[in-house]
Amino acid sequence: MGDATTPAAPAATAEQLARREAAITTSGWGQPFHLLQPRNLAFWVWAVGVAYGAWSAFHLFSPYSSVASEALAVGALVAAGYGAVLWLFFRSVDRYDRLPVLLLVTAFLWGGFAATYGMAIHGNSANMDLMSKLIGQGFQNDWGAGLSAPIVEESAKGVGFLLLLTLAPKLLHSPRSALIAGAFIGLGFQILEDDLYSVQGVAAGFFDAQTASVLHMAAARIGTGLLSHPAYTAIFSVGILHLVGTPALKRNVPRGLGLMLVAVLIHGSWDAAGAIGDGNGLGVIGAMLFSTVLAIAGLVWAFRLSQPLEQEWMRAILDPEVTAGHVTAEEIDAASGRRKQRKAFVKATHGHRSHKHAKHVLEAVIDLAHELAASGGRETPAVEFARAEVVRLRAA
Amino acid sequence: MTVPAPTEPPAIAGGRPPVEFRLLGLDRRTFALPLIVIAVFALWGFVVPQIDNAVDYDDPVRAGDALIIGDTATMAPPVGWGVSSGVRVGEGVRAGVTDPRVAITGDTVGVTTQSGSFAGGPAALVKRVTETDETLGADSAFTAKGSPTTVSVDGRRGVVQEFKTLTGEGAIFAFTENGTGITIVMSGTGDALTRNATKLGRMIASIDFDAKVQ
Repeated sequence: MGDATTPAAPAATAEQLARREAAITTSGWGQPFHLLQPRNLAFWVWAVGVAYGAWSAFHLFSPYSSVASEALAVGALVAAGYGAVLWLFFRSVDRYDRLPVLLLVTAFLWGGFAATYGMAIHGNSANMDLMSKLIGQGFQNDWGAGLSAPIVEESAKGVGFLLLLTLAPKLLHSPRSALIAGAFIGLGFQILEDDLYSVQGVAAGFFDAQTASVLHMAAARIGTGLLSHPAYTAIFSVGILHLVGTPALKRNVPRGLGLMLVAVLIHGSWDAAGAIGDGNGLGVIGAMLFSTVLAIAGLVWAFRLSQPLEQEWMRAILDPEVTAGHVTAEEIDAASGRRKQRKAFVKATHGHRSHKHAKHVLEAVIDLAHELAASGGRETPAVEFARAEVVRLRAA
Repeated sequence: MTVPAPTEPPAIAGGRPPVEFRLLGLDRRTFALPLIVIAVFALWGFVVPQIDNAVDYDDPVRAGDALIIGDTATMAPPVGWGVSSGVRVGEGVRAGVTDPRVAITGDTVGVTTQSGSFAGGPAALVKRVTETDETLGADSAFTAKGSPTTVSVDGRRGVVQEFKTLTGEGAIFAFTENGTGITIVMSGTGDALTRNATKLGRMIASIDFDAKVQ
């Protein structure tokens, strides 16, 4: 971890360096992620859960490989394209200190296999069967998915975040990190669940016109759900983080439970849109729209919970660089500020080329903060290079 | 449940845990949250499905019941048979029946129905279902028996294909109109099908393709 005895720059004060070290430790920024942790129970639970889910998915899909091959291929292509767009979106949101790709892949695989085919498909089928048996077919038809899916699926995906917390306890400290990790669990769930819907959709249409059926279903799901599972799980995971507490985030049980409940309600209102809209087309679309708007609002709220912390850490990490003259006060304001401050920084320069130039400088300053966090505040060739890049780009 | 906050690193990747925390080579400090995960996994993956298996359907068809088998189609199954899937006419569903599948059983005979988009006619539909079932039901040696025959129900011409499997036999009825297909599949042992032939015949004859379903 950080060794504050090696000064980052001659002019930085001991107090600044101590603040930097504290920020690096508390934030979890720059921490590496190792999946292979044989002495950590979370690793084994993750591995067995993902393997069981993959095995379950294989058994479910393999009989359909010959009769629904077109749907599976088109479905996989559509899901991959949609997944890539969402992947890039959530990576772009993760702007303060990007989580390691291996952590995101670990999250994605839990969501895609363990949560979807290890738990959700079995739990939902059983719950809906039980509703039919104990309450009635009509009730199950109306409310089955809306009642079962949010509880089964959010818990199945959410426990994946508990595993990540145990696998990377020094890394997942901020609500932002929980939001991104949760979003990738949800993304895995969404992509792999869409494959199931592709097959179910064409089976319902006697395996006729498979490409049209898959595209129709994908358009309906993406059009009405937009962020769906990634958003639900992101909000749910931020709730779990508040419930558990981290060195950077004081435990706040009401807020944690509140966020988890919001995620469940958003999910439930989408799944039960048909019954909420009482069969009226506009009512159904209204319920879905309400759910989507609430999901985006919840996502923004959860993200904003993190911003003051991340901004403070960014400033603490870069402060010694300002004192040493490597970074300007305007640059640190923009790097540690909100979108508005960053835009103001870029717009303060004139002309398209200048705007681009300012963006590059800002990106290089953020890179420097990442390298400083990764080195624990020590002077390393990577830190020196990042610092030289700031100087080079500013002079370009 | 109190969950200890993972404020301390539970384990250094690959590192040996202190002796007092070792259990079967694992670091006991990493147990709290994964145990919750195991509990949730067991609940949805095994416990609830077992409870579901232990609870039987108890939803017998009553006199006058008609089940929704298509957007505008209904069918009256034999009285006393058990409904394991299917919404009755007049049940007052709010969301509409988007996937009107029916599954009923009686005297070891099973009947399932399906409705969905299909561009071809009834002969093409019965051929499609037969071919699909021959692939999906290869383990049960599903094979078509004889050639398809035609049938007329509620003024609509349909096509029937008989089949046999390792354990029994049955028939697929297919009807189409305006880009929508409806199939009714009945299966059971030869004896059971013969015993219930009249009831099954009445059930097929009860199909109303232009019913008011809501």
